[in-house]
Amino acid sequence: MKLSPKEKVFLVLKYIFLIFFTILCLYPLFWLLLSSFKTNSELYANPWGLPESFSPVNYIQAIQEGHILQYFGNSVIIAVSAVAVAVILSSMVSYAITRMHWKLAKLTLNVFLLGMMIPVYAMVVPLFSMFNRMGLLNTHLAVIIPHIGIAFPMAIFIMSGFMGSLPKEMEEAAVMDGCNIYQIFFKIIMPISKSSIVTVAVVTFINIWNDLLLPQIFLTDSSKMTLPVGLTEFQGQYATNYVVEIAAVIITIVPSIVVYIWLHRHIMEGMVAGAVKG
Amino acid sequence: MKKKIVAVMLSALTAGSLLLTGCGGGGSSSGDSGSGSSGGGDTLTVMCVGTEADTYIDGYNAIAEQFSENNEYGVTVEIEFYENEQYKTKLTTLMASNAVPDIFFTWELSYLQPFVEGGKVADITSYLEEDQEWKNSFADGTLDLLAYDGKNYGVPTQKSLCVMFYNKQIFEENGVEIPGTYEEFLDVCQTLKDNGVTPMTMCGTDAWIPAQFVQQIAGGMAGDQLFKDVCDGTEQWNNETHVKAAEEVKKMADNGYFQDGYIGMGPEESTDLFTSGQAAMYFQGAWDADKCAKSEIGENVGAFVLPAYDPQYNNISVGSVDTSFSVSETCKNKDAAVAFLKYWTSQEAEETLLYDYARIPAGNYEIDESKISPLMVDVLNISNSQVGLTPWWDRQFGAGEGVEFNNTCVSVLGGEDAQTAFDSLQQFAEDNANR
Amino acid sequence: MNKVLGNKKSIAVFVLPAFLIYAVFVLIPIGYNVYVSFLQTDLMSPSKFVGIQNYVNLFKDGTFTKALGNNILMVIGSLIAHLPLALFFGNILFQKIKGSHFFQTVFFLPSVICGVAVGLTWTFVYNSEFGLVNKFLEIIGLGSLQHVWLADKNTALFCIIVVVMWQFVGYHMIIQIAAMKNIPESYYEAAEIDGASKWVQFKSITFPLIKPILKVDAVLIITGSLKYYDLVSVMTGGGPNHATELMSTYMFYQGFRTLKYGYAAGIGVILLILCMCSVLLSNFVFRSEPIEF
Repeated sequence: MKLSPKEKVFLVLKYIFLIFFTILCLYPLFWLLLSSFKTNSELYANPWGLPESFSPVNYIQAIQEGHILQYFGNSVIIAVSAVAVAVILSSMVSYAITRMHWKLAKLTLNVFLLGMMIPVYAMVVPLFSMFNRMGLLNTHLAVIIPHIGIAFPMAIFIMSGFMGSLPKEMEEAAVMDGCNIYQIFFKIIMPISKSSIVTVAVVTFINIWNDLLLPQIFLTDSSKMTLPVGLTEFQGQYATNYVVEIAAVIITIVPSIVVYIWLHRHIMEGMVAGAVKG
Repeated sequence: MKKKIVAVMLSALTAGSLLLTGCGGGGSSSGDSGSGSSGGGDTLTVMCVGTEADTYIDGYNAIAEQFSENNEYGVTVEIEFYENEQYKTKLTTLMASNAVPDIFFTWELSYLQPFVEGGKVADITSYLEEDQEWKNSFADGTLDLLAYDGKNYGVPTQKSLCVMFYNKQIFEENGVEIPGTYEEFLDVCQTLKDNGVTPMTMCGTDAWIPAQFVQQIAGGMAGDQLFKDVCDGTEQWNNETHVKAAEEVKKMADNGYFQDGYIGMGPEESTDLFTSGQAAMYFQGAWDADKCAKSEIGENVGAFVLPAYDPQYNNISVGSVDTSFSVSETCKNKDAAVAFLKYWTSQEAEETLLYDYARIPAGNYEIDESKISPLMVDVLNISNSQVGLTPWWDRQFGAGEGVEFNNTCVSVLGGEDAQTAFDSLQQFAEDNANR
Repeated sequence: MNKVLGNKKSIAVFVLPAFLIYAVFVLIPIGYNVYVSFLQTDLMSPSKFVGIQNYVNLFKDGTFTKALGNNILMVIGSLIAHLPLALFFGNILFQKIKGSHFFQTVFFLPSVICGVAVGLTWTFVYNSEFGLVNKFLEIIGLGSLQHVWLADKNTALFCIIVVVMWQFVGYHMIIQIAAMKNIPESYYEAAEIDGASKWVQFKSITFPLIKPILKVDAVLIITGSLKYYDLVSVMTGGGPNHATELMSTYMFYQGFRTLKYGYAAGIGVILLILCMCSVLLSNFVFRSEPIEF
């Protein structure tokens, strides 16, 4: 297909816009990466250029003094356990709602979906006093449990959408073979739903990994903090040592970017699934 | 069966509600939830404000070690340090959850008050009564700042007041001297400015820092009577002195007496400008004396008290007790905790802090001038020559009017009309009274 | 068959664990939060029932109304960036243009990075001494426009809204592209044959057909902008003098700094009501096809 001159101009314009925005997206991150190798005085004197050397000294300081690895570990513990529980329980509920025969199924689904519009701010004060009574404040559980609860609506929304579309014959064949309901669920349904499970897991993981509010309120020990809170602590402790702070930010975002590059289809699909299927 | 499911769901809701009922109430039943620090008599945990940049944390740790090595209770003391803003959030949440460490850093006056009223702070009156010598070692009136309803809930370990640190070398190079009057002070700033030197370093991001400067100047305009009048409500927040003082600081900013971009600069960054010799003066609490003395310009740092706008009010400064400590009600071994505070306020410990870390003791001790730096001689002279001290507004009034006073000062520096800004502060104070 | 799928016991096993967690840690706290909002409590001293006094005070509290206004500005800013602008990029990338997949991946990237890191990154970008914005102005000869961006009450909120726009344009763009993908190819083929220009195609095919998704997206944008917390908390902490205060940051401040838990709970309730309103509103505005939540 040949382009008319007018179309050519439009095409060029389009690319200009796209490339401009690409730079806008990537350059701040790239600049941050370069800055993380500079010294503080270099940063002030030469914010644009390359660092004099690519020495990892800032990273070493961020890891050793800033306890970034400890925060990292805490984030992993909280996110992984919350995601695991949320995914298993929400797929069970979704299965029961879409495939099993009971009258309250529709109502239960709606009660769960109601949660999609609830802002977490409307829960934190009561949760705080609840965990206080239960002696759970300042434990990872105090962050994990509400995250599981908050994850349900979106997870059930995505999974019930998927499971509802599976053909009925699947269970029939399995029942013929003498499988019980648990075998059906774990051996047949779960494997089939793998893609939507990954989607749910990834979205939930990102939400929990990035959350600042809950750990900030429910955790007080710095040895239990997650990465986002750790970063804010860092901001207070090393207020003038910008380059170390920048290195800490890089350490925080690199895993997200790597996972994103690796799983971007799932992530993009998952994060928009809720909206598109609505 | 279906009924059963419904029943279980309902009972879950009930169980959940039970967890919540009465949460707003006394709530002390859940005792030692959370932090296990208060358990056992072996370790006393102390929570304190401090960051890596604060040289004094070594001194505090040393005190804890010395006490741990030899005390009749066999306890070990551990101090945890947190950055200022984090500390406030942390203490609040720990208070509500009864998980406050045995001993905690506190500010005086209205900061501690809600915790005292909530029954979270141990009453240490009897300890002070039993040991009159200890009680009398505190300077007059300092214990009152931590007393509520006639009972003592904390002890100060230091005194502090705002001083103007200055770089002697820069002063010499530019041929200026310590100003004796307010006009001379402005002249000094102007001369420095004309010579291309940053006269003062200031931090705009932490609102209390410019606010204490405004408060200092207001004190120099109308004396400490103004402070008392605002406290007891006979004077309003938008009084003309406050407005004039804020305008005065704004004028200094407009004249370029603060460093460029000060309004967006954090406290560490602006302090660094002074301690690296890039600014001539630095107005701050005397707690920064050690940081200055141990910096690269160390020997060149001196201090003077800002001359009053109206000379009849000279030597009225922003100041109060500092680094006070309280024992939490949940502390299992209050005797040991008080013993630790006694040790901290003992002459031995306070001398270490004074001689090695330039902290002004709260008690009345003889001071060996030969052991302290020239800077500290200046600071102590200022401290002794003050005729009136006005505590920081945010300590007197806490998170309400106090913090808003700070915010108001920043907003004036940000360009808001001073009269308008203080009018809205007054409005806030009136609304806040019935909140 | 029915025996297996209708077994009440297994249904209970499948549903109850999740439901219990959800009920105890989401539904009940919401309800209890409404109750707390009628109390004057610091969770320490005995609490006092004050009726709607907290709400009356909230609307008299200049800082709260300021925060509410800032939230609304945030909503407007987000709507501008995340509907027209995202749609503009979405429409370009939806057409078979070289590198479309690459651009989509890149534009989406910021939305997966945690808000704290994004906030810190932009704090550095806005830094008055070494930040990119000021240095850039200097290079293009507009040095006089240099500014302490986040400390000036006139620019701080705007700067934060720009970051929100930046972070989530790609996210909403992908939602819109996903909607466009559901449009049958044949519609465009027919339009091509009729000689309709791209703009006409967009106006008469794409836009009407993705409208239902745009409604959902609008709800997401509005509720999303009501909920921002991380960015402001990291970049300005609500300052200078509350200029960038949002309802979320103010709630945190009132609850976990000044111990006014009842007051904070009231802010939470208002946020909840606003989020619900945004759903109802969009249901009302686009009542032909109700959005199911």
